[in-house]
Amino acid sequence: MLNESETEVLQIQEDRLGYSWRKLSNDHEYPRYTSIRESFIRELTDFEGFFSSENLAPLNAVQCEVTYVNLIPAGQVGEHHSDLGKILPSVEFRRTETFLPDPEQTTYASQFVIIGDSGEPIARLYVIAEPSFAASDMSPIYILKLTARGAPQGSGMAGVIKTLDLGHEWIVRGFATLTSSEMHQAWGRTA
Amino acid sequence: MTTIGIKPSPTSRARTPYDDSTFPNNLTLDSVFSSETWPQPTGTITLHVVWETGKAPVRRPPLATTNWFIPTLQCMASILLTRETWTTGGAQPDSSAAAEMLNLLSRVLDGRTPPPDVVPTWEGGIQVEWHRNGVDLEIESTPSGDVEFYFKGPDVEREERAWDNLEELAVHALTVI
Repeated sequence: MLNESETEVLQIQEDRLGYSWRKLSNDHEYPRYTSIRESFIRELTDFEGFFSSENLAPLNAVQCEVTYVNLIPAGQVGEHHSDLGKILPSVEFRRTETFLPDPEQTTYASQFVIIGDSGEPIARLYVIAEPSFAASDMSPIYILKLTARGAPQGSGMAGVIKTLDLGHEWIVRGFATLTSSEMHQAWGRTA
Repeated sequence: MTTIGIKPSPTSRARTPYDDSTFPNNLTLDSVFSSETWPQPTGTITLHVVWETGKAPVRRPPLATTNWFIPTLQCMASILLTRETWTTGGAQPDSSAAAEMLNLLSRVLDGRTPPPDVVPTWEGGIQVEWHRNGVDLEIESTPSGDVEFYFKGPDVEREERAWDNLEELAVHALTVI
């Protein structure tokens, strides 16, 4: 389901509900997480209300996740992908010898264990950057995807939101840690 | 050929008590990115929640608050406690058949279902029945533990084992409300 401006997408299937905000043009500013969070809570509350009105057992959440995806320009049409190290400095290609040219493409994937308040591991942060091409003009882009996924930290809506909030914090701080200062400036330090 | 393999660290998954690979990540972002509308999104933020799957159990109202439970229980008690009146023929009513019937009814009846007529059977079982709204629904519980139902509606006539066809029986039972 889409909203009128088609910037919000609600997906429901047998075992999950997903609420997405998407940037359709450069005029669209990334909304604050709190506003997305409020919309998600509203949709989930409505959905739970439907279950209750139909005399069905309440939803028992078993997994929550937050995902941020950015499509990052990586060159002009017809060019190879630029060095992923310009976006993620830790994967910068360092020429230690002259044999290999710059890589044509680079893919990055890492996962990090998320530690909870009690010091126990409770979730994971996945970071993936992979080359692709823009659908509009086939210019090279990198798709940078950060996903925080874990079990609800408590029962009911509060447990779900607590995990989502923690996941959001790890995505924002993880993004700031992994990406270059140039990227921070380009994106206004928003994930 | 020489193959060099790297086994994943056995502690990498063990470090976390939560195995997030349990659930397939099958709500893809494809539909978010490949909208029929244009332009293509250049970024998204998505929040997901996954819940236990399987048939969502119906949250039944307390039995005592239903229309059918107390009257049905009273009828059954009357049949079981007045055995002397049931000696004109056939076997004595069996309490286990009555208990099995109540167990079944609690699974399939809506709280609004009107109380059925309750009658003992020749074999010592219990039968409940509704004849209303143009349908006939009869459920018989035998001393041997079998429970069968008979349903006749405007377009259908069925006779089945009840425990093997709970969902169908529940649907038929809604027609007598």
